[in-house]
Amino acid sequence: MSRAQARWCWLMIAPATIGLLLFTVGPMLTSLWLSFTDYDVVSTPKFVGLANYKYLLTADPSFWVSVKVTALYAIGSVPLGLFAALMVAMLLNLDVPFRGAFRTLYYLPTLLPATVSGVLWAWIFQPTDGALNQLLLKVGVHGPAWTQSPSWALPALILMSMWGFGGAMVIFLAGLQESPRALHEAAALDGATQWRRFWVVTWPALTPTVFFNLTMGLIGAMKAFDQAFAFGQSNGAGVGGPARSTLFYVLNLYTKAFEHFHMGLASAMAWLLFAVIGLVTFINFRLSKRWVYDEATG
Amino acid sequence: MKGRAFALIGLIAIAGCSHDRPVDPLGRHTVIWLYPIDVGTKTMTEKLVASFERENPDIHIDVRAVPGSQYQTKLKTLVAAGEAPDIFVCGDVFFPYLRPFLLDLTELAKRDAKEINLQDFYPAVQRAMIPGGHIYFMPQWFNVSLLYYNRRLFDAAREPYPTPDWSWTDYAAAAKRLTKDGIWGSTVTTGWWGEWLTLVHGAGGDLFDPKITHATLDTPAAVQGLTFYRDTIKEGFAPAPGMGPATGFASDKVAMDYGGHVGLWATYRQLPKLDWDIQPLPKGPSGRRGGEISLTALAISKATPEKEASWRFLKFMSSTESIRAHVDRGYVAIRRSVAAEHRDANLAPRNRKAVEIALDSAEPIPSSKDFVEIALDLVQPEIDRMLTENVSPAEAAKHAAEAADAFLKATDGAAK
Repeated sequence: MSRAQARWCWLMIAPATIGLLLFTVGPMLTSLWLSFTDYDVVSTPKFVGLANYKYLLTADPSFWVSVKVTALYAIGSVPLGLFAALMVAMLLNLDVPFRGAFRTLYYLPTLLPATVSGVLWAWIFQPTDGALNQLLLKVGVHGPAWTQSPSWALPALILMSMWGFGGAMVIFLAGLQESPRALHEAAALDGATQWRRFWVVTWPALTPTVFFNLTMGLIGAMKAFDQAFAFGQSNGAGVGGPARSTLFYVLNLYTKAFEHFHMGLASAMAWLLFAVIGLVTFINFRLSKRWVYDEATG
Repeated sequence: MKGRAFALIGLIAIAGCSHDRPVDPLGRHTVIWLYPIDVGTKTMTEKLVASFERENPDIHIDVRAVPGSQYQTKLKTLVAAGEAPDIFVCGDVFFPYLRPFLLDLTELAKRDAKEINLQDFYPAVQRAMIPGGHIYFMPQWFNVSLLYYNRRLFDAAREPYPTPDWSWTDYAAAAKRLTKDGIWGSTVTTGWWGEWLTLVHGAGGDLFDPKITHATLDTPAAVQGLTFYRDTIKEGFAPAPGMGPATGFASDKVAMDYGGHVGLWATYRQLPKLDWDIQPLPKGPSGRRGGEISLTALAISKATPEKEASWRFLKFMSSTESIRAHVDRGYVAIRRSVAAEHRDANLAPRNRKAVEIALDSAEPIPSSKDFVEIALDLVQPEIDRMLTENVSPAEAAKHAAEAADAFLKATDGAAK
């Protein structure tokens, strides 16, 4: 590359680089600095060393609870969501009438703002007059106090998360359509059953798609916020309630930052989350070598 | 020539740095009011602003509406950005936090003493609105804890109405008798400190020591208050959280509401079948009723470039004209003169004398900028657990006090 070409190259990438430095790297470094300070937005930040991290990890009664709530949510919602998305994608991959309409219908909920679905589901789960418990009552079952019970509020949010599987479903659908037709036909000729064909042909070809959806699903679950926020605001138990049973990590971070203006604590939480997401994604990538089919290496 | 050029540049620079806000094209001073959106009061607010602007043609009120749930976040962000609105809502709950940003109105209030007529406010309101001998905000209405009761349900059960000398025992006994045939004797206020802190006070306890250096929720008196709160559910005369009628006292299926909120009067009045009245709260074992008083008020930013115009608007919003509008909307009159005008109005609640009795014994919320955070984020989850799981009041109080103490210690030690 000549000097003139290099100059042009730098000139062309400059807007994006400057934007990245100013609006992404800059705020990230600022938040790293703030995580070592006592900062309430209106006063000058005061350096406190590791005090924020120490308080979060050893004294804050909400920190580990929110870690546990988020972990349980990820463990519950990600596999359930992936399973539902895969099942529906397989059904919609069949040559059935109104296939296009069904695909649109299943995808539609993902287009709804999370706050709207949060309010809607808070109504569905309302203990006395909610649609779900009314339905259960018709078959003789007294449903739990979903939104008001510390034991049931999180399962309610996990169930609610399945409502948004449309995104993963579309990706699975694309993956299924990439599944090698020739291999399917060969397996059918050899007398393989539907299940066998799924297990030896479809599934290996689909594993990169599963891996992608799993990674994105895990990251999304660890950052879950908006639905829980709307759910808590509209169910009367308060954001994160009852008894912190829906206090997701990011919800906790948001409350500290924007309700109580403990920007130092919130920044420390953000960096801990960043580290955990990085670690989980790294482990996920390492484990993927054992089960994700790679066409190049077999 | 060169000197003049420098002088001109200097003047322009000074003008650019000045905090003066130019008048609008109609020659009016603009006052920015950060207003929490409330569908119920929107029309009243618009009328009051229009009325003020008619009476003060040299002032324009720029009402900037923000959803109520995001109000504090928006306000603090604007303050942090150096863009504080001239006027904002600041009752006694958020006063300790906002105090550094508030204009001290004491001198202005002295200057216009005749006009604002402080003596016209209830004594309890005066005490709450003059923290430390200074005036920082002017109130429009207040909430005071009361016992709400449904006259129709009491009549149907042939139960005598509550009286001002009721004790906790009288209240619990009546609630138990009233609980039958799908009717609940009472209800429990969840999600905030409204009821449990009142009962803690009634039993002689408190959330903090007087200097707010440590939590005292685990003292025997405080635990007694929490136990009474929990037992309303355990003894079956109030529904467990979420298991009662979704609209609570307004459903016409709940005989009493302990504490309640005067902000709901307008709603109750719109329900023709709901025949309700009020009494002061029953006295607890300590002899205290324990109810709280909280003010909804307006304050002026310390940084306002429109001090005089903002003050004129604040005076107007606390004037008899404004308070009458608030009473018409359903709020309790904060001025005694307006209350006297409405004494004979044929409106529920009939026993408005109860408000005065309640005010005499009402207790302000703890004056700490950390109170809301401690009460909602550290204590409330333990209270929730006590109501919904098998956690005893003593255990819940112990955990809550430990969490509050850890927070107080950490914030003192600069982790924030």
